[in-house]
Amino acid sequence: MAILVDARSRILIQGITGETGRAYAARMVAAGTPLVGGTSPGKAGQAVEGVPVFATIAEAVAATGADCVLSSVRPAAALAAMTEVFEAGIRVAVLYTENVPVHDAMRMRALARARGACLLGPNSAGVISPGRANLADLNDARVRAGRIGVVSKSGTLTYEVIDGLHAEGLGESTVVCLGGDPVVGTGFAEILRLFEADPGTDAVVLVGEPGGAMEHEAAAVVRTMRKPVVAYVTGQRAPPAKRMGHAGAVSGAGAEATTAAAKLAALRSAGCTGVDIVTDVGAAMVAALAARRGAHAS
Amino acid sequence: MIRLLEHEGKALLGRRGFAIPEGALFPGLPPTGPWVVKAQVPVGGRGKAGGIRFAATTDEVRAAADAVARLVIGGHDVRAVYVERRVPPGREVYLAAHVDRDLGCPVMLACPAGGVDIEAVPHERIARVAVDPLAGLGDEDAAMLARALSPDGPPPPALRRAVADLYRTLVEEDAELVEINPLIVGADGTVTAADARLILDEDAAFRHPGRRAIPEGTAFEEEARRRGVIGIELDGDIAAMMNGAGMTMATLDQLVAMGGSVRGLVELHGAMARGPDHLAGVVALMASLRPRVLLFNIYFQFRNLDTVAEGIARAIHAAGPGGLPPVVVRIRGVREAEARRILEPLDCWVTDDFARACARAIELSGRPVLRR
Repeated sequence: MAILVDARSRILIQGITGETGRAYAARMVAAGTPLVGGTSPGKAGQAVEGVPVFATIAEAVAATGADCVLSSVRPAAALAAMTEVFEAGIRVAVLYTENVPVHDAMRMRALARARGACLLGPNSAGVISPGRANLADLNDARVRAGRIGVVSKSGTLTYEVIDGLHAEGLGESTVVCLGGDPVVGTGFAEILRLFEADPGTDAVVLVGEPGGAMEHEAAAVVRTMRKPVVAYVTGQRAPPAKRMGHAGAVSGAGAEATTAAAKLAALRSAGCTGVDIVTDVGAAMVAALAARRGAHAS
Repeated sequence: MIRLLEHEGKALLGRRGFAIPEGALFPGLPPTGPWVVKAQVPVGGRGKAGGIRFAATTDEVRAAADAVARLVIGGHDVRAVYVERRVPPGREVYLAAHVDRDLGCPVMLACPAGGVDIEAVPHERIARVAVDPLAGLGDEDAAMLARALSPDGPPPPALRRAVADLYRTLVEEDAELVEINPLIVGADGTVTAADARLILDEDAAFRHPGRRAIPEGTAFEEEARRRGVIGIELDGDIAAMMNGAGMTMATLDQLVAMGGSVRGLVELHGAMARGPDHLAGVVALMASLRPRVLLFNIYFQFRNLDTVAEGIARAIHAAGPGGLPPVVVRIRGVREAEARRILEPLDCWVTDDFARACARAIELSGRPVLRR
């Protein structure tokens, strides 16, 4: 089991004839991800990596029954692209595109919510359920099917978290990257609820960052969860008000609650095992799982 | 994020139909006084820092401008001095619209107590409306906000218009914040923006020809930006290059938690695609910070590590023997073996392990490693 995407997902790539789209298509087909087609205006009827190209998402959905989309259109086209995606009834959309205007991000988030769909991004590295489906900027060869859920704003940092889990003999049910922008479609809270309900997930790693209140909402959900959560919040040592790479990661001076330290403290007091450095995640997860087994045995 | 100076923000509000005081950048000044002389800095707290002064004569204007121009406010040199005709006194209120990242929608804020630090105003005195970005600000919400700004009587029509115009300005200008504090409501019902704080979205520049980021960082940070990477300058020992924003922050955390300190951070961003010579230039830029150690913490699952390795190698060759501080490289992922073959003959320390690389960099920086 997994969340959001699995072997029964039917996946489209929006912009499949572009450089990024083709690269993703090649990876997906090579790894056995259920890619069923793609779109590219003016290129309908062609094929990429053996899957058909359609003019619109609606036509692709009608022909293939697709329910998931990976999109890497240019920033100026992103809002129109996501509008097309959600109007066609897509359930899960990953918007990989970076530098999307924040007002467009707010509109696409509202559209997704109005349709009951899940938008990851903008600026999301995607979602992968190892061995089942990969809509992510993660290499299939570097993930391992298992029972730990991972949810992170960052893409590259999940590499490190996953390696840490593997070093302890663990693997992943699903890895979800929310996106590094200030306004993204989906927050930690929603993903934690999905992991809590997923019979294929035993525990969760949450990787947050400075800025905003999303990790505080996550802490409120953690209080209601039975599964252990290991949390790391990057930027523990980030100077206030310095932009640290992600547009979303500014812990403005004066906004104490938005600092990484305040967020990690909130997650700890909600019951998470908090770690100060990312290389401690694996060992902390082993300890959290053992503690849970101990609690069940007694 | 583009923070406008007050005079730029006011010019924008003026174009959007807001009444603004007559003003000019010093040495220009409006023909008749009394005047207000205002430091132009991209941060708040000017009043307390002496950056806003009143003047009744042109001699007083010159003296005030001279004093204000020498100030440093919140770490910022005063970039310009703006001289305005003083707005006749009236009721000072607070009106703002901003992007609320947690709600994921625009939020309007209105408070009848303006002209003061809004953070100091009790929460319950501020009217807040979260706006559906697909529907826009509704008439009823706009009327409610105007009423909140006019507790002692019906709001004048100009105030109701200002509320609606402010929301439209936020959306149509692709702004993250439009704050007017104070907005002065005159006894005659006129409404004047006596201050303006605007933050614009750089990513929406394609909809706003001429919109350009205003340099705000250190010389290193601005040069990094020109080279297509993100640079952050700090004051410690180690300069480090990473791929990805999360990895950049995580490396800073790791180095400091293990006993090290950081001189500068570079996030590669899209600069990988520009090839090894470009990367060698970024390495030289890192070295210009005169760190005790150069650390590279690169994990690629799709891009080729040998491109980065070649960039580091070219920087080492270009600097010559002893030209660079000690180099520590953590490489992991695609074409790792090829990258190792490039680096191993050179004077640098190579590993595939994040924590070991940090420990080695800290040792070379001359500090004890506190944990491994």
